[in-house]
Amino acid sequence: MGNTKEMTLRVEGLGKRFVRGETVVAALHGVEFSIAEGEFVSIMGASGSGKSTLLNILTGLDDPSGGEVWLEGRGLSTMSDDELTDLRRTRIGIVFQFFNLLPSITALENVALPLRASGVRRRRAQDKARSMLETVGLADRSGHLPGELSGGQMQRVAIARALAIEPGLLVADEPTGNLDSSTGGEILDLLASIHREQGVTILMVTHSPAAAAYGDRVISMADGRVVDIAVTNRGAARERRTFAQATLV
Amino acid sequence: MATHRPTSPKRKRPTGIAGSRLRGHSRLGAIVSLFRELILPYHCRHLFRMLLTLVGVVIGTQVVVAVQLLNRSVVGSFEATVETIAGSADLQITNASSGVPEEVVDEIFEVPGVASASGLLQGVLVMGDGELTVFGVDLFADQSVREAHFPPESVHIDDEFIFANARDSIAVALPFLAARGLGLGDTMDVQGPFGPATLTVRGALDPVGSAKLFGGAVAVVDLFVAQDLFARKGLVDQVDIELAPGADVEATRARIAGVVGGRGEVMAPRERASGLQGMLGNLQTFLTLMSFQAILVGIFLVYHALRTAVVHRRRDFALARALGYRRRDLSRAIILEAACFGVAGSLVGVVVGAGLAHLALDAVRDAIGAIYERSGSSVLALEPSDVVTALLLGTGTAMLAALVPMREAARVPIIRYVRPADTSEDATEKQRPVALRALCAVLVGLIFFFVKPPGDTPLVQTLFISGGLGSLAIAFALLIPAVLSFVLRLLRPLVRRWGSCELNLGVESVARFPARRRGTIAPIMVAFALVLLAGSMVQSLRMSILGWVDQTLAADLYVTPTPQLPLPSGGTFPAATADGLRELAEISDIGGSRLIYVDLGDRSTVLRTLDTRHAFGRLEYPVVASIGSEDRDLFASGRGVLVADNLASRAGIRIGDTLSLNTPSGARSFTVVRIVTDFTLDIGAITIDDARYRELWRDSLVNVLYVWAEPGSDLGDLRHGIRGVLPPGMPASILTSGQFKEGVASALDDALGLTYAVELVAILIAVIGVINFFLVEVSDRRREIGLLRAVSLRRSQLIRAFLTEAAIIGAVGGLLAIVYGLPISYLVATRSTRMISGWSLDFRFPAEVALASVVVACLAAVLAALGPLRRITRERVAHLLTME
Repeated sequence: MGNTKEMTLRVEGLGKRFVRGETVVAALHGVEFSIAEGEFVSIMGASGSGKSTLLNILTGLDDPSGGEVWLEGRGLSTMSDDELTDLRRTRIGIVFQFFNLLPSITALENVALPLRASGVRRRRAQDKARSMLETVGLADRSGHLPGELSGGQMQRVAIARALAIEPGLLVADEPTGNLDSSTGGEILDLLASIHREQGVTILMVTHSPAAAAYGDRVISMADGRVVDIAVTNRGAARERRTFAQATLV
Repeated sequence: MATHRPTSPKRKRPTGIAGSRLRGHSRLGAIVSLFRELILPYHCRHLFRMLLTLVGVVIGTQVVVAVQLLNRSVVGSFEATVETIAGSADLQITNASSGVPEEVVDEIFEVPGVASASGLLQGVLVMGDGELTVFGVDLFADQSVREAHFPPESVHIDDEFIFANARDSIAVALPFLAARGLGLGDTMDVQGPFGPATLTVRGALDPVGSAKLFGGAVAVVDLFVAQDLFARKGLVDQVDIELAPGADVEATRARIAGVVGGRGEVMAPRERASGLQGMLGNLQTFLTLMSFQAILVGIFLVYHALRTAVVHRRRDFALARALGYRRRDLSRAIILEAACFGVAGSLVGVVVGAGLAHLALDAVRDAIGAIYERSGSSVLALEPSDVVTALLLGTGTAMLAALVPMREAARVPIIRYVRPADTSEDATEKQRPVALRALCAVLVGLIFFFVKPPGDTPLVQTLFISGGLGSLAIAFALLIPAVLSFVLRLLRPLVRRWGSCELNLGVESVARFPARRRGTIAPIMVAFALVLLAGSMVQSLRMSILGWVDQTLAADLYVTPTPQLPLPSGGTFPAATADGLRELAEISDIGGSRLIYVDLGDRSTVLRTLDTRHAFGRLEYPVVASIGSEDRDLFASGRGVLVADNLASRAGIRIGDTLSLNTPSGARSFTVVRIVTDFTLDIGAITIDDARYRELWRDSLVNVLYVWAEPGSDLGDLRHGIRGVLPPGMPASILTSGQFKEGVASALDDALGLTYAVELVAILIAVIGVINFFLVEVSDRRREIGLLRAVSLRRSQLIRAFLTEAAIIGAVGGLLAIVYGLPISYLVATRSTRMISGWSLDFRFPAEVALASVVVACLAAVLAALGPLRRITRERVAHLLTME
């Protein structure tokens, strides 16, 4: 995926406030971090820590109350609704906790949907979708409706859908939150292998330390603030590998 | 952490497979994909709901198509009849039903450019088993103009000399003879205006040309025989003129007009047909307005169906937006969805409408023939323009109805629906401020009612009235959530204190999302308001007309040739009949009235005669305006006329104006001495002194005789006495004042019967709306229903809870129907009726129908909800609790 090399995400002083009646709830305070291209970063935090709000803002689904998100050098706040939509369609693949597959169309058609949104011809979109389903190991389930798939299979379809657009950034929102531990492990392995083999930049939100450990770095959040950014063992090993390769070269 | 801000943010072109396609792409593919992968599968999964939505469009368009076909068929029938009878004539001289002096035929023969001219008299003879239309033609005159009318080879007369000289000869269409077993030489007993007559069949006509008209019940007699039979001495109904080859039509027409003077109008046959159509203008407006009402309710139903479909798919739309579909992709896909409903519904509506028109054709044609003018056979022909109109109307209204759902679909908040925690639809339903929008809609509605439309064609008038009704409907529909909240605020404490568990559940459910019920309540409100409008119109018309009848028709007995009300197209007596009746000792006074159609400028109206002493005495019409104390003298002298207020209002006639009327004696001017309240006919009436009429129009017939009995006389005996005096065999209907008024009321009910039929269609659409709502509702609330069942709520309790909801929806719909129905009924009765017919009605609101509407709306909603509820409550609880 050649285009992933161009991807950088930078978050500066991000804040978000919700007004509920007369009460103002601050969901995010001065959040700052950056993600380099090809990184796999986990954002971890307990429920209510602000990680979902952060994800909404990073994907252009919500506006921040303050600060800025820089994606490929361009601030999201300067983009129009159509531009943000185009960004999601072409650069950001999203994987939701509850899969969010359309129940009335097949797995193949679900994966092809974002391509069709871009006006890609049906046949070409389905060819691409079929290859994505192969990548996630579901080639034999392409004609099934979501209701005929297990939870793990539905999440694989959702990952295939996110990958179909060849995104610069793959955002996964609690991808294992609705799965049993064994199936969840399979999904995390799948994400790790995609990251390893295709070099896709991945940003995963999770409340599970075990899941977070799949990333190179873990950004910990509490009460809407970044409280820690740590490199994981996997990340350290990767850095060592990269350093060794660079030294050898 | 680096925090540098790029100095000049550059926009990168989207890359990847999606990005590469995006560049310069028209977005059409995205819309088609949304339609194919999101919208179509949804409807395939909810086929029944889709069919109900389709029915909303079908019902609306089929009524419009049926009315359009009927209108055109009736008008076409007039045209075809006039043109067939005209034969190859280039021009015609006519004078409405006044007649043209026959000497005109000889006079115009001298006009340069005229090749041939022939007079024609037309009348109806009554036989035991039906009517026979008889054409009187001058057998000794040049008949070349009649060759297309009655081709020589299709007229079979054994001995033309005997036929022409015997005063009882008649040539009858062969099918008519065959059906009655008659042949040449047989005699026929017929009934004409002068009483019974016996005619001998001396000729037969093949069923071609004019002999095909009127179902083949057609005959030809010599002109002089016809003048005797129909009491039209020296008159013809029309003179058909063939011009010499190469003659300048307009120049010759002008020369003929100069010769004719005021004894008739010179026009092409087609122009005459359009004049006859003008008489039907009000009827066409009425029918078109009725059909637009069905469309109005249909719009609300389609709006509701599309909106609920959008609400139902909000999660899908949010996901589509999250995956990269733009807002306008969604908007356009929704519009495409509505257009598909419109196209499919319209096409089905065309077929159903054509069937409906076919069923109603005979009834409508007979009704028109009885009131206005008889025409030949009517043919229903579906034309491409009907399909185009249906498509435009059906698709246009469906797309109009989709505007709000479209906006809602495009504004679906993505985050709320892609997160499982936020899938409780309407959890934060907003009550948007609607008072201003409602006020604007009211103002727009009032403008439609109070501003004079640019033109008085049926379509323009219908659009204005429908625009007014529609705007006010939107205004009241906007207020539904507020009204619902208010009603529930009153209801909740009572139900909490005394209501059962299921009653509380039902009330709370409605209270949670009042705005969501708007789409269901609005069609109920509009449909029942239209019922109230129809009821109000009927009652206002009945009260105004019967009140007028009470005031003006004060005779003890009414003698007419047929049981039908006296109308220009109806039967007649010789005026001399009154002289015979005067000999009866029980009669204190007697008067007669003749009614004919006349042309007043470019509009047709009725000319009625009355004795001056009756017009200014016992039969005096309520005076709206008068020229002053000399009005009676002017009227008695024959120089003054009374004009109906509806005619005055529509034609802009004022007191003192001079009206010019063509008479068989030439054009004559009359001064308007009074404008009076007159409900004779929607096209208005002019009343003239009876004696003056007889002198100018050379007419010796009457349509009705008014009889006043001596005080203390027995009316039953008097009726027998009158029957004894009338010539033997002369049909007569002798009605008391009460019976005559009953006849008026019954004729009114017949005329307005169609209104109720269309209102029933409107209610049907509303019921479909309720079924649709509950289909969606139970589907949306599957988990809630499962949960309630799981916590031990019985199936019957659950049904009762939902039925409570349905009853509240129905009752609020019924109540709002009264609130909306009252102002529109008032505006239509007082403003629109004046605009269409010129009549000013006394407004009456049907309170009893209003109360019944609330109950019926309630019951209709409950019955409509039962089906979907039964189905959902039969499902297993575990199944209900399962997610998709």
